[in-house]
Amino acid sequence: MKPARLLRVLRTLLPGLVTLLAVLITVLPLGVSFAAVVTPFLSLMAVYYWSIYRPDLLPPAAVFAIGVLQDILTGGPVGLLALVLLLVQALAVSQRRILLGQAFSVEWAGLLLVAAGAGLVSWLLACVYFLALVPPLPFVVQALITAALYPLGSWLFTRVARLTAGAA
Amino acid sequence: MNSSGGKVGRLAAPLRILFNRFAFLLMVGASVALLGLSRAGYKPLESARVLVLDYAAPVLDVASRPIAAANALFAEIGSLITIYADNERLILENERLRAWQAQARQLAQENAAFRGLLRAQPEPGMTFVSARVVGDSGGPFVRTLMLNAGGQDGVRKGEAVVNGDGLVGRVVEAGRRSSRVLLLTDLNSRVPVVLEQSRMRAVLAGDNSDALGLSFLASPEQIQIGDRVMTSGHGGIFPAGIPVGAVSEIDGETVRVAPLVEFGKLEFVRVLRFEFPALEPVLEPDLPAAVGAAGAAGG
Repeated sequence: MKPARLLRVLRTLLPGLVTLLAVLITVLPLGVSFAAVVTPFLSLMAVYYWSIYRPDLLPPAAVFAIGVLQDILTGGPVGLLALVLLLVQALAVSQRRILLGQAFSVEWAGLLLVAAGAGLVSWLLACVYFLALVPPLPFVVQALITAALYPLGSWLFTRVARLTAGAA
Repeated sequence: MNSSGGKVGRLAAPLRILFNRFAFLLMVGASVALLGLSRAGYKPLESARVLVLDYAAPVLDVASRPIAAANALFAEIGSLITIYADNERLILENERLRAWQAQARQLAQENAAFRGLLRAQPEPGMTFVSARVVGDSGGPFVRTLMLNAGGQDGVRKGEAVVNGDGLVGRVVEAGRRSSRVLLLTDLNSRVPVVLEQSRMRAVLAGDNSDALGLSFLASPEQIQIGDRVMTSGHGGIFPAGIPVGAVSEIDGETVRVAPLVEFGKLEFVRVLRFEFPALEPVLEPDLPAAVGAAGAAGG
């Protein structure tokens, strides 16, 4: 494989790798008390961003694999986050024509809605899975923290997106 | 070639959309199927989980070291600031502990003498495996930790996990070189405990929040805020007498317990290798059956 071609392949893999990195950061022990209670849903941010800007570089199979990995690493029900991330992707891809070219505040508001919806769906799924009333507060907090951190995430993803500019 | 390329290009776009839609539905179906299998406790899926954990643990182990180093540095700077106050406090504490040590020695001797008189069963032996925390679930569903020690280090499923402060949780998955700990605070955690003062038995249940709930209490009105809670050893999963927490809130029937362990700041833990005596084969065939029965009834 020629170096130029290798570089292009690597570029197409970047969105997936960034999302994978988001999952790894989520499970790293940060040694901060509040982080043990709720961490931001970093992979949701990544899937939302790439679904809007480069949906071709993050296919459903990749989202599924990354979701399953997060499920396994966090020790939760296998398939739950995979399903939630796939729904996030479907929603973001279906609305990307509306979101593209808008002010950042619109994209941000969209993320808040998606994070809230994802929180609700995952809470319902968790309640059915555990056959118990799972405390809903952590889901609300997680959606809010995720939304609060999105400007930073989006800024970082934009830096990575520039590298993918040449990717097919 | 060129002319057909255009045709393929025109055909490819709708085909691609169709394929993507199909792939999406396939993946959603796969997720739902996995959820069902996970719920049913399908064995191959559990083995796959442990395998993924084993491969991810070394990666997380390496990645978590700089974070641990940074935290240690901050802690060091923090302790430099309070070094004089700490020293004074520790001198006083040391004095108090010396008095306790004398008392503990005396009690240990007394206890050994009484045990000898009663011919009581010796407590089961306990060893431990130290492990580093390399992963932290962090999600709103579950409260778990990942450790960098597994089966090859002697960690087995079901073993109790403690740190210097008290009980952390128990091992729910043990791979070859990694394992997963279900924290006390997890929704699915149930620990048989006993209240130190009243000797009342209860079950400590987590609900994914930082506080724990006490349930199945015989008479909750006897409890006071500050009562210490420790493992009772019932059920044979946890050894008896591991400190767990203290009663922090009483509201009618609901009693909340604040755990001793700071779950967000765990770095090293110990996995207790505890052999429950009832599961050990009896090695004394000469022992008369009547004595064995009397011993069992007494214990």
